[in-house]
Amino acid sequence: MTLMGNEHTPVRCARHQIKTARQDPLRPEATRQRIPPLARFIAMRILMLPVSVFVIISASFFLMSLLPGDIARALLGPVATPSQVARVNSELGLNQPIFVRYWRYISDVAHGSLGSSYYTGRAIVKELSSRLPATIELVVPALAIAILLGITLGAIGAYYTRRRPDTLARFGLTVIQSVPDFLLGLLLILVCFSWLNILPGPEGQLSFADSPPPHVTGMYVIDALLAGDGSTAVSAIRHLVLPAVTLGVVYSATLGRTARALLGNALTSEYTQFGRACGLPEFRLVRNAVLASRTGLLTYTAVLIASIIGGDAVVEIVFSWNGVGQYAVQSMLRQDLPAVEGFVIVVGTLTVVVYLLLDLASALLDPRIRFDVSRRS
Amino acid sequence: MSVAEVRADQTRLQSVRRGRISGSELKVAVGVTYLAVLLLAAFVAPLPHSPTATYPQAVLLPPSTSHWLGTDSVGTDVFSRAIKAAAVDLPLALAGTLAALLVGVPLGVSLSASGRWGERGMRLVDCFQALPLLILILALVALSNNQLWVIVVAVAIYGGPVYIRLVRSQVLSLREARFIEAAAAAGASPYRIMRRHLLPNVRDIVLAQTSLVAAGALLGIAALSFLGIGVQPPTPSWGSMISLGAPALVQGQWWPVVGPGAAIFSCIVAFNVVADGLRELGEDGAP
Repeated sequence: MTLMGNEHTPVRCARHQIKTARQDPLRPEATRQRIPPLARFIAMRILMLPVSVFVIISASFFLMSLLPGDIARALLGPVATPSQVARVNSELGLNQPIFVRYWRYISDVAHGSLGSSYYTGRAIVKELSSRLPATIELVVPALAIAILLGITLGAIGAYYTRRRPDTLARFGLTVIQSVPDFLLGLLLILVCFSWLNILPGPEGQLSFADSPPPHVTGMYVIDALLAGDGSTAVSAIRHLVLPAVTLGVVYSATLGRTARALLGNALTSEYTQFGRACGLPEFRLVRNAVLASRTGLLTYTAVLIASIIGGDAVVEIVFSWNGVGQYAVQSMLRQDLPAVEGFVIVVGTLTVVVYLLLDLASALLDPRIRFDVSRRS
Repeated sequence: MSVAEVRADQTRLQSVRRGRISGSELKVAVGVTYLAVLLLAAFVAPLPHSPTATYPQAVLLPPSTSHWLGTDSVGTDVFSRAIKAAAVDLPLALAGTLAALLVGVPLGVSLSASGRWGERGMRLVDCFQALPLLILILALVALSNNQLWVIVVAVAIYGGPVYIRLVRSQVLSLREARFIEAAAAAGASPYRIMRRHLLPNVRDIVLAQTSLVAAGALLGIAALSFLGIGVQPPTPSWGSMISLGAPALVQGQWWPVVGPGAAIFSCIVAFNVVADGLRELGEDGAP
């Protein structure tokens, strides 16, 4: 068991086999012959998406509602009178039975509303959608760094097994795995801002002196480039470097360990030995190993994407990055439950969508899965 | 078993016969010793200064012979406080890991039972893990007025699914093994098979995972108290020390962050090294 360090291990193949095996092969339905099996598989997975999202919405609602603590009292402060508390409770609808509130919440979500903030009164959908571009702007480069660094370290380790570069790569991975994200962020600020002064400090996406570019996508780098504003674009990129590196480096550890195990298996396989015996150049052997283990790498990349979307809050806080993660933590600290529920729903939905895309991509990439689908259904 | 593996086994046997310690055993020993010494020091060692007293006249002093790691922005000695914080953070992480173990292993074994319920249970675990756990744990701890036992529950929520997956996948693959079949053929009851044949074979890998979960728990507890949730000052805790030192760090005064940072980092390295060693030992001992 070399993959044990990883928390989420989607066991999608097993599930799908069981689900399809239950169908009776002796009674082929008319539709089954008209729709190609792969299309059926894809359609089924897409149809399951709303169900998962519904489960996530319900789970988010009940977890938040059943938590201990008195919201009204927390909002009003310790000196509030009981009548004030009762008034706030009835204003927020908190004195009604939980299933009434649940029903109302579900119908609100169905109408595209996630409620409004207890704190500012603004709609949660607006609060989140104004901050989501900043998070995406941070997460996408971070992912690129994590994938590149993780697979590179893993490939070095696997290729030079038990030699000096492997020891170094393993040492690097242990260090990366052991450093908390906020600590790495602060140390990078210390070195690059306080000591060397080559990059801006933790002041968000732009300096106080910069004026934000006209709103198109909400991502400052892209907006500034679209507006042709070179200096703002450079400033936005310079502000992006440290948080993206922090997030990317910290999250590369899991992928690196996985890549080392997967590529290690591929590089010690008989087809690699055969390729070497045939005189293939070494870089092609490594390339073939990466291609052969692409489904596994893809799975862990999806897991990485899912965990980075939910886990970037701390890094956003360190760098005063005005994204959804920072908003969620701040809302939590002031007991603004609808905001937290909204965040959980958005991130949970994104996660489910990422896993769906993973299933589709691996069905397209891996002939074994594709064949399995067509043979069994 | 390949030739190389047989040779590795032979050398290992020889080193055991000569009473030498293998690299894996060394890893486990060094890691456990470090953590034990730190924990012991936090409770009994005479500290150079009080870990909680504040001195307004000695704010942000750089490291010196009197203050080994300087003082923070309220004048507390960073070294003493960083050592004392181990008395809170480490036991919390270990208690949480134990709770996760006690919840996760039985659930993992029972979900490995064949039939629909195992599959359905795993789908539930899937959905559960799609939620952003950090924020949920934050909510849980913040809304319970930062009681410490809630942190233990939170760690169990984070670590439980990890054990469920691990134990279930291990048991599923072991169940097909010959010796289980033989035990069943010899008339052993399911309970006896589980206790005498399944669990001992899962033990090594679960132990290695325990060390990793403890590392994750320590990270999570530090992140919580960095955000101002969980362990509250004046009780020393590494995360809150780092968050207190962050504004000074931006000004270039590194010691209030680097002291507790080094403490967390070294503990997590120790847990990871122990996990590595335990896993290697388990792999060596496997038939």
